Amino acid sequence: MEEDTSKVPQSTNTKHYYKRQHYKSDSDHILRKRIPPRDIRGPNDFYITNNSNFKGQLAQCIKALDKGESEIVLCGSGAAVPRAINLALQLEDKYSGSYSLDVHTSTIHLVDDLESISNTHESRSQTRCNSCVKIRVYKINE
Amino acid sequence: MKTSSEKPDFDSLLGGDVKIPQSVSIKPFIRARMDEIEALTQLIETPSNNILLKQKFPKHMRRRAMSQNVKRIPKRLREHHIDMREKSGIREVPIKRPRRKYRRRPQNLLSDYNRRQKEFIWLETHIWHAKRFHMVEKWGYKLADFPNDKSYRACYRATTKHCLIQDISFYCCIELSGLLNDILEGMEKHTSSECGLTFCSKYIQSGKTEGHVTFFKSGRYPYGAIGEINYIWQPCSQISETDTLVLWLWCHPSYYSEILEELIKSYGLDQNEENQNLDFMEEDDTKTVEDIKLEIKNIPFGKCPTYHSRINSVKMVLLKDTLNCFRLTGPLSQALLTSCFKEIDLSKRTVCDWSMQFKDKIDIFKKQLLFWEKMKNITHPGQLPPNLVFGLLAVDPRLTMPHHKNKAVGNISDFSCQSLHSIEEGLSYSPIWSSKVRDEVSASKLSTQRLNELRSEKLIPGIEVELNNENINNFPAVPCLFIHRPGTHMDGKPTGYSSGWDIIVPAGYGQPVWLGLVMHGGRAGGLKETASISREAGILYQHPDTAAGKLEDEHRKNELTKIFFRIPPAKRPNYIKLGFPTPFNCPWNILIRDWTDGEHESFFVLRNIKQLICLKNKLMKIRNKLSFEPTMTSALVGVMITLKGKGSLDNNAYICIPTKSDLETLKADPDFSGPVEEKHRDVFKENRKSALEDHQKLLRKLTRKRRKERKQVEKVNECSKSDEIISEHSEIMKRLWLPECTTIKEYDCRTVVGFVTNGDFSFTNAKSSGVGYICLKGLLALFQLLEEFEKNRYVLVRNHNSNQYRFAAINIIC
Repeated sequence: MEEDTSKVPQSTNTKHYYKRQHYKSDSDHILRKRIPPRDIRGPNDFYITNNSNFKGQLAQCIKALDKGESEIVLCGSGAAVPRAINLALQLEDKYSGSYSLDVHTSTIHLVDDLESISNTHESRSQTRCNSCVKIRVYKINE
Repeated sequence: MKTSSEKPDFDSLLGGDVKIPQSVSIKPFIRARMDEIEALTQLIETPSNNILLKQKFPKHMRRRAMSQNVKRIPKRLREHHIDMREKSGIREVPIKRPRRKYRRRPQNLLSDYNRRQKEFIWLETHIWHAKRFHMVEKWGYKLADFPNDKSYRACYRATTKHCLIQDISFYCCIELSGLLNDILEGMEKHTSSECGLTFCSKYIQSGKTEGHVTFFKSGRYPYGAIGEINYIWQPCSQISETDTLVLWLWCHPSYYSEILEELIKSYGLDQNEENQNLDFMEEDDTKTVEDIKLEIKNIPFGKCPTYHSRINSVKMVLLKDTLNCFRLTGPLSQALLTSCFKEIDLSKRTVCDWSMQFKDKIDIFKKQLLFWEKMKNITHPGQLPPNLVFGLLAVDPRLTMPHHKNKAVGNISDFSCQSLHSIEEGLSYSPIWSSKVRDEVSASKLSTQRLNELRSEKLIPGIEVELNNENINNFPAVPCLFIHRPGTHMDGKPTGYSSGWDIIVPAGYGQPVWLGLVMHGGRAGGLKETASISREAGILYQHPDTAAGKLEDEHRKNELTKIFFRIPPAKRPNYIKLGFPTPFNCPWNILIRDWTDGEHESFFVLRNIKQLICLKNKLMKIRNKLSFEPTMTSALVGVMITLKGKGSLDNNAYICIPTKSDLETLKADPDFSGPVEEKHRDVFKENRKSALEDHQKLLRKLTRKRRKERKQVEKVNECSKSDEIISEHSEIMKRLWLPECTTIKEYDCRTVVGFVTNGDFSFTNAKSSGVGYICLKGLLALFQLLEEFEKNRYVLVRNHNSNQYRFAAINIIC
């Protein structure tokens, strides 16, 4: 087992690997994902998830913008990135002219704990990277 | 006649023959009549019945409360009355209750509180809770059940967006110490490595994290489960064979005594009688208020019951009720924790107290402070390494409490700080492990009075002044232990839901810490919240194969049955017609007997983690083969049930296997809400009717008989009393309303495989959901059916008050 679990496993940096295979639970460990690091959520931040209804999310954003907010931020990570982009484009379409988009992409480091299920193995953790997008929908000053 | 000759009628003057003497000498005269006089005076002075003076008053002078209150009698007659009363031995009124003002004096109030705790122990925050919560008597404690204000949703919101706080000091701590091998040897029989990590895990032995294990009766695995316990080892860097290690076991009070019994048996423990605690028993006149508060608890340490092993080095101390434990749940628990507790830098501390002896451990404390700073930059407890144990030396929270209630939201100075991957050495070190330190901290607690005096001395009072105080490192210190709880990892639930912290502080600091948490914006919850959180998170507790779980079930069943029979018959749901023979409990025994064809009566909950994972994988990819041979037919598997569409889910709902046609209909019509149970024939309807008629006839007959007797003899004959007959009749009727259940599997039109133990509307799913168990054999039958319907992997559930089956998704809890 690894001595220093705080480091990223070497294999992730160097070797080509099949992503899905690497992070699965095996017979000795259960994979438990930790929560992604995130900022304190403000009232105008929308964290987009694939589990919610798309129309509902859109309605939420429209409600915020109609209330007169000068800007809202849509955050999406991993699989939710396309949805966040889709949402932002829909908003731009609706408010063309009055609101504009500002896109930031970044990478976040996620941590998974591999909990051992037998006494002989040691629990360890591993990091992986995930892309995320932050889209600022802001009012254009004329 | 003899009498006339003895009693002369006439004296000599009248012609008789008796001569009356000229003078009487009194002494012999009285002596001769002594007995009579004595008897008379006796009678006058001590009236045999309580006919007192007051009964001889004329009517207009009588007062209603004379016998209760002497002062109602005119003053001039009162003395005589009191005399009479004393002589006749009648006591006036029960002892007078002291007046309220007197009762409310702190000293008297405290002693009264201690008296009231004799039967059910209070937690330190009892009075705070008693003002705001419904209290219940449970497991030997008076516990907060649910808040008085309308707060069900607010408490849920606290767990997802803010922070919910609960006082769980009723959890019992047992301290085991001894050589590592001796401890492990005893524990081996009570745990199983199949259920996950046990005491042997080197990782948990380092003390960095908390462990969880299911405790079994000695050698009875998989049967004979007692309950789940959490444990922490005292941290030490190098574990050697000869070092004495200390282990804290935290268990729920509902099975505390069972665990204790098992430990005593397997370690061969003997209680130390007449130990050194005599020194502490000495009555001191100079007791402070704080001392009286802790009087009934096992404080100082010497008062704790101690056990020594006859066989090996193991020693057991019962730390029950000597430590306080608080539970924080929700994302803001991070912010709450860091704002409520202000750290003390030991290197800058100059006060001479117990902390001086830890000066040589200064490196460890520095490491902890460093980690504490990092912690402040983390927004959610789910980002931390799971089950982390962390010790901190904090300022007495009363000194850093805000003036007004505010909400701690945390302020992040450096967001770039990443999640902490692994746990460093020494974070879990805490002086709280030392009994001497705990005693000293509890004893040296500032009283509220002293605290207020200190505050009033300040020119500008307020928390800001305290925080900027350079002396903050010299403030009274409290060693605290924080234990991280990772949240749920169920599919379909938000990751990290129900994550948070457990806080352990020494005795006496319960109230201050609790107030600190409340003032920083924590929302208080009770036992009901524990149940709702575990339902939302998909956690099973109070398993039906443990004695504690069975007791709880029985208790709940009796209560609900009582409520059911309070409803008028016309308004009761007819469970015979609904085809629901057990609306108030889950008959696991009958279920297992039906599924195993009478082979097994006893059952156990499947806890083998590898098998559970296999079952889970099988459910996910239904076409795959099950990778182990399921042989335990009497096993129950914990499952989470989420309704597919609308509908509600209640406790004790039936989980059934759908038929092929059900799933085919669903395939064709996705909006199909589910089959309906045919109305059952009420076979007891006639019986109930005739029983009632017979009963009423009998009662009428008895009434007539009584009336007749009253006319004739004035005394009612014993045999015509109807109390017994009425209670007998109500028993018969109860059996006719809820006939005893003998079979359950094929009772209804769908095969029953299990029951829901904790179900309700779930806010996390926006649908009804719950947790329950299904029997393994039933699960395998379900797998077989679902192989054909890969897209529609649903079971059917039905509530006790409805004949509508509804489709629900099923998830195996592991």
